[in-house]
Amino acid sequence: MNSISDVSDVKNNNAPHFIDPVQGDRMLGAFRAACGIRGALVLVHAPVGCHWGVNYMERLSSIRTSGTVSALRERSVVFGGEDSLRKTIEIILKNRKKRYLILLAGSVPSIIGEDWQGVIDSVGFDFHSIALDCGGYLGKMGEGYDACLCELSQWMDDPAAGRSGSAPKVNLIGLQRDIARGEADIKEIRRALGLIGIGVHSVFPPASIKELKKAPEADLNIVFGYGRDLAIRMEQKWGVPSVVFMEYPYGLAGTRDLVRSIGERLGVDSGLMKKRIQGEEKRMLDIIKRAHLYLPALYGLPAAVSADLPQAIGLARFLSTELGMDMRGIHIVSSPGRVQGETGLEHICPDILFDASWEEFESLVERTDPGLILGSDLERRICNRERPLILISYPTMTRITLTAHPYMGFRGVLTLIEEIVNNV
Amino acid sequence: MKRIYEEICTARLSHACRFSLDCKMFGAYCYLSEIRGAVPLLHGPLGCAFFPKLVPPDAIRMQLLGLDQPPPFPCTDMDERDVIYGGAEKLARAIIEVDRYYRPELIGVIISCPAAIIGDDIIDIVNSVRDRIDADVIYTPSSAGFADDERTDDFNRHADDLINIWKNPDEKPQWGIEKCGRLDTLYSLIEQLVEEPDKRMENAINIDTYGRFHYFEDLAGELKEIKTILEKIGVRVNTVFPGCSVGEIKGMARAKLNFMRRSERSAKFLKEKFGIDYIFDIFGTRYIGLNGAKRFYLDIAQRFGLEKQAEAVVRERERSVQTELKEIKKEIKGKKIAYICTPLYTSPEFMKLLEMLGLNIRVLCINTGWWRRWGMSEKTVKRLLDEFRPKVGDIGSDPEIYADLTIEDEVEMLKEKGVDLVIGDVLVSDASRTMFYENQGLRSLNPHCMGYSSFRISFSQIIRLGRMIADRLHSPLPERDLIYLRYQYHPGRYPTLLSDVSDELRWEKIMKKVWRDKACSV
Repeated sequence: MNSISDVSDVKNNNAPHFIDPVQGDRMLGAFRAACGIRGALVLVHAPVGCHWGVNYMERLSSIRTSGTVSALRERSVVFGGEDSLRKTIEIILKNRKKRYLILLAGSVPSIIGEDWQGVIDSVGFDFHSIALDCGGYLGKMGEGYDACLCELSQWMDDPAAGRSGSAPKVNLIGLQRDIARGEADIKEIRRALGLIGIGVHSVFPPASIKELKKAPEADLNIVFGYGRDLAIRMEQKWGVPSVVFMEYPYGLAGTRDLVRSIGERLGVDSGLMKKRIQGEEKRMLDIIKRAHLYLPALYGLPAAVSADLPQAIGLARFLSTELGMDMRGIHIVSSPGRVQGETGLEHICPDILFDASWEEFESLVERTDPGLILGSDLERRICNRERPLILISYPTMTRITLTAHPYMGFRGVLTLIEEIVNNV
Repeated sequence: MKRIYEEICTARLSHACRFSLDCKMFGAYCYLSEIRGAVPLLHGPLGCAFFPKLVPPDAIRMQLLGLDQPPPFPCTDMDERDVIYGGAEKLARAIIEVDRYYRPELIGVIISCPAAIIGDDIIDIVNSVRDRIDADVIYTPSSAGFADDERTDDFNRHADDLINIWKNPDEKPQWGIEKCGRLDTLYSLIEQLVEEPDKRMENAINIDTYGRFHYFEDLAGELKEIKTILEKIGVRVNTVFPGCSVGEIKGMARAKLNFMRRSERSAKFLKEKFGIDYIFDIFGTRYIGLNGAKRFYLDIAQRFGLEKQAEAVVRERERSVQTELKEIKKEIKGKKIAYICTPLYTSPEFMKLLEMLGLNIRVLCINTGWWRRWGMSEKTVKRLLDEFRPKVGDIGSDPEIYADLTIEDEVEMLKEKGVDLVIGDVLVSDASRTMFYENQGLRSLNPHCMGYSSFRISFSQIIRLGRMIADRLHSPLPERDLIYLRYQYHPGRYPTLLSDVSDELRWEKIMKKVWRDKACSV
């Protein structure tokens, strides 16, 4: 059996007829955005396997999932699954004080045209609910992620009147908690903004209902790829403005650009900002100095990145611009909804795949022979001692992270250099 | 090194699969991954094909095929347009492209929920491209995730099977696993691939094996021993399946006998179509322990008229087992043990085996937690216990019997009794239980975690069992203060953390009331 061949010979370039997928569907995206919210229960309205798959991915991505399933069976396809749904809602919510339910309907109820909203409305007790059609055939992971983030605005409270005089506050939208070191990244971005006196109010996906509810009190929404529809809705409803970044803040330059841009937007004193950023960069450079002799070894090192759009762009830019690596390939495995193929990285890397079938990246790696891959567990099979893999993107399920070392932000530079040097 | 990797795979699966259940589509993917040269192809949305390849490769793939990565899982990426207008053409093209790209020996087309609901005629589509590809191709018509499987059946029926088999090992269980995704796929493979042979092989047999996630068991060792002994008797193993090639499945009809451990439906098909007789032993009820292993070879030999040869070979093998056990028996003779078990088909025979090794079973702790969590009613559990107790009377040690103690109470009682070793086998969390006992100063062993399975047909694993018991009795028991145990556990559901109990109860209730549709209070 061949493992590598030139797929372009075989496939019709315009319409490939099979895909070995590198991302999940709308259900996984929505589940990722919803399942870690403390205080809310996620109900996958589908057969058991639809929940098993997404739950498997998230539990191994360090998320304590709050999901369960309405366990539809063959009879549900014939007679409808409303009864199963009603019973499940009663079991999971009836005896709870605070009742928040996010219902994600899978392909089966979606295709047979079930009225799940009718069931929600007819249950004999009150609860807060969000319902999304997440049939796998309806879209990809990024679309589900975006759609779910947007619907969370239903549970936000109107901001309390009269808040003034305190430090500016921002929401961070689209930072993923379930990627490798995701929580540490959030903490580091919070710290980096704190250096110039900007507080972080809420992060999306949120960690709790409480965090979600208070989000409209923020002065600015910072959108990192995912959650643009949520930001638009918050602007329309509560007048919270937003700024969109299509890449995550990796490296000294990436983080500096983010902090400076937000500081300028919120009117932070430029002198203070410059001083704080320079001070932080100096601290990091002092630490990196201990690895100074290793940095030339990384210069020109052939590398490839496989990650979703904001992560891939940010990482590739850092590896190329600040470490001088030779980017041999980039695979953008998923992206926020409505984003097409633009990356702005063509000057860094000539070989960029966008949402391609997995074997196309395998072919690219075979052809360009990178010495290091920053990717996910999907890349495990093409990595080895000579071509190490740094697990950094989703899904990373074969490593756990208990320590608070980030990949993003100023401090993330230390972790990245440490891991790259130790792995190659 | 490999053992550590396999243990991590097990831990990962246990952690990730809590409060969730897989579906038939995933079972079909797993079974096809156990056939060398096969590529599964999903006719469905990409999300269904994304996660299976991120699950650790199954034990049969690793141990019998020597492959440490799961296979790719291409799919037709079914979208809204396909759901409305049908995905037939897309599937046909995908089969052709998968054939040309991967150059597989076999393409296994797996049907998903959307494809099943919209009614794409999978048989017609597959047949329309069969002549245009180099690979063989099969389809699994009932692998949609919503299709019912045996796990939705009334679990109380399982108790009847247990009781009947404790009374008579020749009884056949009624509660089967025929509807699971793996066995559906096995049937599809056999129905669609096995060819009329040019010539039958004399005295040849096919052997069915199992063990998708049984990383801890020596799957290859069992088969090696079976092949060696059968060869001495004069019986040749034609195909071991799964864990074999496509060609070996095609050639199954060369054999004259099938030994089936999972799918009687497949065995019946082969009998009807090719006249191949079969022995069916689901759940290993007839061939347990030393006597069971002997019976296995004698049963097979009888079908070929080779009883005399078999008796001689088996006698010789038994003699050598007893010789090897001699030293072990000396080391462990008269040691007092406690046996903690969830009653299974094999439990009474396993206790006899422990006695044969010279151990004195002082205490028997019966744990029915696993049964109840799978939906067995309290009434049935009581009946099961009432039937199990007299079976224990058949063994010589005359142990004191306790049922469903909390693990703390268990430890207190076992300390009082002064047992030398606790042997545990409660199906779940056995490693965690071993940690608990040993943290409390009770030497403990879980044979299952160490690679012994009472369901496997093997002489050599009896020696292995004896050796591991002797080694554990002689190895030190250092004082421990395990971090693992510094959390609050639910006393009756160890090792469930108190913080997880509500999730666990909720899950069990959904399984019972919604999935199995049984009455219970909300």
